[in-house]
Amino acid sequence: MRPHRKKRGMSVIETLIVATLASLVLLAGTLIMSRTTRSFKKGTDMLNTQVLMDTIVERLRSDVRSLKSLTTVSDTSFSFIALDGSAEKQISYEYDAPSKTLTRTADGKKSDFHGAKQVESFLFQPLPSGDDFQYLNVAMQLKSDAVGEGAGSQLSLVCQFHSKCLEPIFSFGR
Amino acid sequence: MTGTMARRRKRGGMSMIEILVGLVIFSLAMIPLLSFGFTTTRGTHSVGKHMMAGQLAASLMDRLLAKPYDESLANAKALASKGWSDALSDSLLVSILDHASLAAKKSEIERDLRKSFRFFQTRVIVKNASGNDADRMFLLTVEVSWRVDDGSESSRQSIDLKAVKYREDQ
Repeated sequence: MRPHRKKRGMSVIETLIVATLASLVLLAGTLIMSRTTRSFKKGTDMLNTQVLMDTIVERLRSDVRSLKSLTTVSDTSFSFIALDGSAEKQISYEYDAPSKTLTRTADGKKSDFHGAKQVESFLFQPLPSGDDFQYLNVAMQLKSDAVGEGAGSQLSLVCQFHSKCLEPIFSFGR
Repeated sequence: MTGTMARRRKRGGMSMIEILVGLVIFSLAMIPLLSFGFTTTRGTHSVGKHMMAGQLAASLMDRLLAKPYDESLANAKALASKGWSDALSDSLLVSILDHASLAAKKSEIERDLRKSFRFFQTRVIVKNASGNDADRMFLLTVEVSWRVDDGSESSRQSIDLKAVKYREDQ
C-alpha cells in the first residue's frame, strides 16, 4: 500500500512560498519593463528632436550654400536671394518666439519643418556683419513635443553655414 | 484498484518543485525580452549620436572648403596639427552664445550643449596629392569621435567625412 503523503497537493506554507517567489519575479520583471519603456520613450523622444534639428540644419545648409546676396537680416529672420540653377529665388527664414515656430518660405511655400511650438529659441548671426556677409552662425534650442509624465527632451546646437555662390563685394560697387 | 490510484495521482496537482521549476523557466524566458528592450533603446540613442556627429563634421568641413585654396590649406593644416580637440572648444561657434538676445537662455543652452557634446572630439587630417597634382588639390578628412555612454574612454565610435579641395584658378 502506498503512503497518502505522495498524493497530496501543496501545503499552505508551500503555496505561500511559491506565491511570494512568483510575486517577486513578476515585480522585478514589471519594474525592469517599466524602466526600459521609460528609457525607450525618452530615447525615441530625443531621436525625434534630433531628427527635427537635422531637418532644419540640412535645409539651412543647403539653402545657404546657394546664397547669392542677403536681403533682410535680424536676430530672428534671415532672407536672401539664392541661386537655383540659372534662376534666382527668394528664401526667407523667420523665427516667431511667441509661437515657438521656425518657418521657411521659398517660392511662396511656407513650411514649419513639422516642428511647430518646438523651437524654444533661435538666433541668426551673419558674420562679420549683415553688410559684409561671409558666413552665418546659428544657435538653436529645440524641445520635444512629448506629452505625459516626465520632462521632454531638450536639445541645443550652434553651427556655421557658408555660401558657395556669394556675390563678390566689388559687384555692389563697395 | 491500480486504475483508481493512477487517477488520484493525476488529480494530485503540481508539487512545489514543479512550480519552482516553472517559475525559473518563466524568469529565463523574460531575459531575452528585457535585453531586446535595452538593445532597442541603445540603438535609438546611437542613431541620435551619429546624426549629431554628422552635423558637426559637415559644419567643420563647410568652413574649411568655403575658403580660397591657400587659406583653406593653411587653416586645415593648423587644425590638423592640433590633433583631437573637444567639439565645444571651437570659439568661432561658441562665441554666438555671447549674443545679447541669448543672454536669458545662455546658461540653459550651454548646459544642453555640454550634455550633448561633452564627449565629442574632432580631428582634421590633410593629405597632399602626389606628383603633378601636389599643388592643385588636397584630401581633407574631418573625423568626429564620441564616447559610448556605457563604455570607458577606450570604447568610442567615430565617423569621418572626406572631400577633395581643388585650386580654383586651374
